[in-house]
Amino acid sequence: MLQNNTTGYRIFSVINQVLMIGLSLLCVLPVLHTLAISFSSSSAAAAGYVTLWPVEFTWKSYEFVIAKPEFLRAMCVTVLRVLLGVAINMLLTIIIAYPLSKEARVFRWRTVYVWFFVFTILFHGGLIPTYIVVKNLGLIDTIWALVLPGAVPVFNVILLLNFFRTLPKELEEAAAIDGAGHGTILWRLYVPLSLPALATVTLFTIVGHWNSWFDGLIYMNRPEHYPLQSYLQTVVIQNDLALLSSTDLELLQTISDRTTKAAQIFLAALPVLLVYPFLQRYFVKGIVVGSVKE
Amino acid sequence: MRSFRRHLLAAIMVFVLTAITACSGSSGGGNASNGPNATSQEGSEEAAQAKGPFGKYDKPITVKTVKRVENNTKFKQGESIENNIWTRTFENELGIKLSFDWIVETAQFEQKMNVSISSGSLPDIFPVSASQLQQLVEGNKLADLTKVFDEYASDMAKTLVNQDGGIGMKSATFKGKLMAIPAPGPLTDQSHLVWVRTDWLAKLNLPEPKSLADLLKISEAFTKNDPDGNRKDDTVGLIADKTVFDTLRGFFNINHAYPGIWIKDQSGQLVSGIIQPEVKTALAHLQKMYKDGQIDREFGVKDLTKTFETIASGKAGMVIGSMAYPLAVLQRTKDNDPNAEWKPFPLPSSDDKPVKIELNPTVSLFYAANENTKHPEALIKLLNMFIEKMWGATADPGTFHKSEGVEVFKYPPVTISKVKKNLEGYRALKNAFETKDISKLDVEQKTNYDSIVKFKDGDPSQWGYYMVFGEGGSQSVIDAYDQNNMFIFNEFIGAATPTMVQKGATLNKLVLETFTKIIMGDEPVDQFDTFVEQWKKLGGDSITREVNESMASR
Repeated sequence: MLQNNTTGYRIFSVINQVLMIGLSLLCVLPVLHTLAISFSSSSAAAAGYVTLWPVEFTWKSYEFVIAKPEFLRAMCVTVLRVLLGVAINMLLTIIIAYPLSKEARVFRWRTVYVWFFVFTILFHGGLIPTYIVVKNLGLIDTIWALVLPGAVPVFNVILLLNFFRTLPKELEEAAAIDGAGHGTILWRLYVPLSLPALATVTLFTIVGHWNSWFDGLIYMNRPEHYPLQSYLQTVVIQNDLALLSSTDLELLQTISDRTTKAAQIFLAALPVLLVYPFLQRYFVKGIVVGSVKE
Repeated sequence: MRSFRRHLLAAIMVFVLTAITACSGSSGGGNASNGPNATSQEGSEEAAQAKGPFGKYDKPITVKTVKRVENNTKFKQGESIENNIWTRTFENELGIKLSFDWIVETAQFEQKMNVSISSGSLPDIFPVSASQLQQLVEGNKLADLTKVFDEYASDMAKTLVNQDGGIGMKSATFKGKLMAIPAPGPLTDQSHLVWVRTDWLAKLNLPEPKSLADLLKISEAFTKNDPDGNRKDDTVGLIADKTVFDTLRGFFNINHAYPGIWIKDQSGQLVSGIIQPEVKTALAHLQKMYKDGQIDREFGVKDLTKTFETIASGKAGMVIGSMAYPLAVLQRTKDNDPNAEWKPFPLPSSDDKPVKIELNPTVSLFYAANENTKHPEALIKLLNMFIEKMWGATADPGTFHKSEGVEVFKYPPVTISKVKKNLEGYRALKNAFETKDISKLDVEQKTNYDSIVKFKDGDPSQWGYYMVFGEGGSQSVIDAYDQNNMFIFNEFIGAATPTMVQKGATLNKLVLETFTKIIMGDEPVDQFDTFVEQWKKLGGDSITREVNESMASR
């Protein structure tokens, strides 16, 4: 690169670096602050002494959140939900996106079907009708109530079908000449070539399932069936001091709402933080190069 | 590469399988979903009979209900909401089997109940909020409890539902029919009082606050005379937060203004406290204090938690608010500075007229019965039994209140609390310390007694209990309020009127913005008069009309 040595480029480079570092700090510092609060004693947190380093280090808040058997049980439900949900979501997304990515002369009703799906993004029954459907299907209080109502993420389907359309048609033609059917073309050609898109969509799905709490709340009739996020919603310290009984008050002595909330934020975000690095490598672009000779 | 992927796939499959088997260990009894509004007693040929408040059904009945639990509810090994000392008692002594449609934490209860109401799957008996009650009554979904209450309620139950002076019963009565049983919430504990850093008072040689003039003087000295002795101008005299009223309601009361409630004017009509001229006086004082630096410059953007930082870090000299503060925020001041001393004082008056403390006795929780239920009286019986086992002649607190350290009294689907529980607790403790006789204390009072004894023996972590229930604690201030009848009650009881629902949020925003601006000096105090006009125009007048109509029609 020639222009690397010009003064202008150097100045640009410095400004660029400074801006980027500033932006990253803006993103990272609040996270560190929350982390520090979650490890601090409640009196230090309550007095606002905590900045980026824990004051009077303690595990108490984490103990309070994790010590309950409900936490593990809820974690289990969530893990199960993510595994089931992601498997179902991805399978359906792939097999729906493939035919819809074909052109209208290959698949005549394509446009009708696409609208059929898109319609559900624009209009849906609303909370109560959905609830009644789930209830009458007998899904209430089962894991399926969390997985099935959102089994087809239409938005992801559209993402993926658009990605499929960017793949060179010559590939498909070549494979067809070699005697490959649709199944082979989809699973042996399209899917491997679409890894970056699939990784993105998978991450969305994982995070979506991991973070959703409202459906757990309305479809589950027992706190022990709650997924983690719904459960964490309920682990707040009562603020109505007038109603407290003696046990609650003992708790208030050592734990404050702030440190507990901070600990919860971390426990809830941790797994997603752990999954991300493994998917990162698929986000690197430039896969569909070199397989076609123009 | 291919084989690697195979292995990965296999590994994932194994993982999924183990997860499924590990997690499917205990799923509670599945609920067969019935059609809309199907109650559990349909189809039984002859209704079971049970005479009197404590009569047992001649053949056991099953009652479907739901339960709101507090998130820190604990259970003994093998017990649950569906199986514990209370459920067994109801079954053995009353012949009532309970089945729970759902169980949900208190915070999410209202939402969950709304879903049940909208989807038409109501159990036999269930708790409801005030607005849900109104909605269900209008939709004719509830059983009329007038007769069954008269016939079945025990004397003690009749006393307890009326312990708030009948306000709860009034708000559960529609067109002369009792549609639900009220569960009155805490009343006297809503009182505001003044917490003052007495170590600072001593340091600056100031008198205790006996009048508004004293209070203003103390606030000024705490701001300007460096009470914490660090040679920095970093202390505030009085705490305020962005909600204005959470921390300043008491300050308005000092000036004979009652912003949160409806009061009677000379002609006997109900008027909103927020537009009375006394509010203007209070605002004028606050504006002056803010200008002087006695109130946090940034109070308008700080929520309660953020505001409490000022208290916990020892930068605040006075806070007006709840009797329970020592148990949380004030204790934190002591954690950070062992020499800090907080003491509660009754709200002083701004003139020679006695001060009145505003209380809002509106009941927010009711127990209702489904119109289709065969046994609405079961609701009353459950309530009778709860009250009897808690406080009646056959009460056994060691079994039913707190057993082996577990608070089992939180389990039953229908519960009621004593609205002056903490005040009565204080009086009982005072008596116990004077007579040296602790045999009359109930479980909770005994716990508090032990805490105070521990504190007196030199355990600083129990200071909070001592400051609430001990001599000179916040309950002693409330005791004085109560003895001298210093309370003024909200005259309007009942759910929000139509215009309140429609315009309430807008009006609240108007109040908040205007008051914050006036206190911060961005607007002159006379802006209050303009505000009153606006408030009336934007729906205040029609709300006032509705409130008066609704109270007249009761």
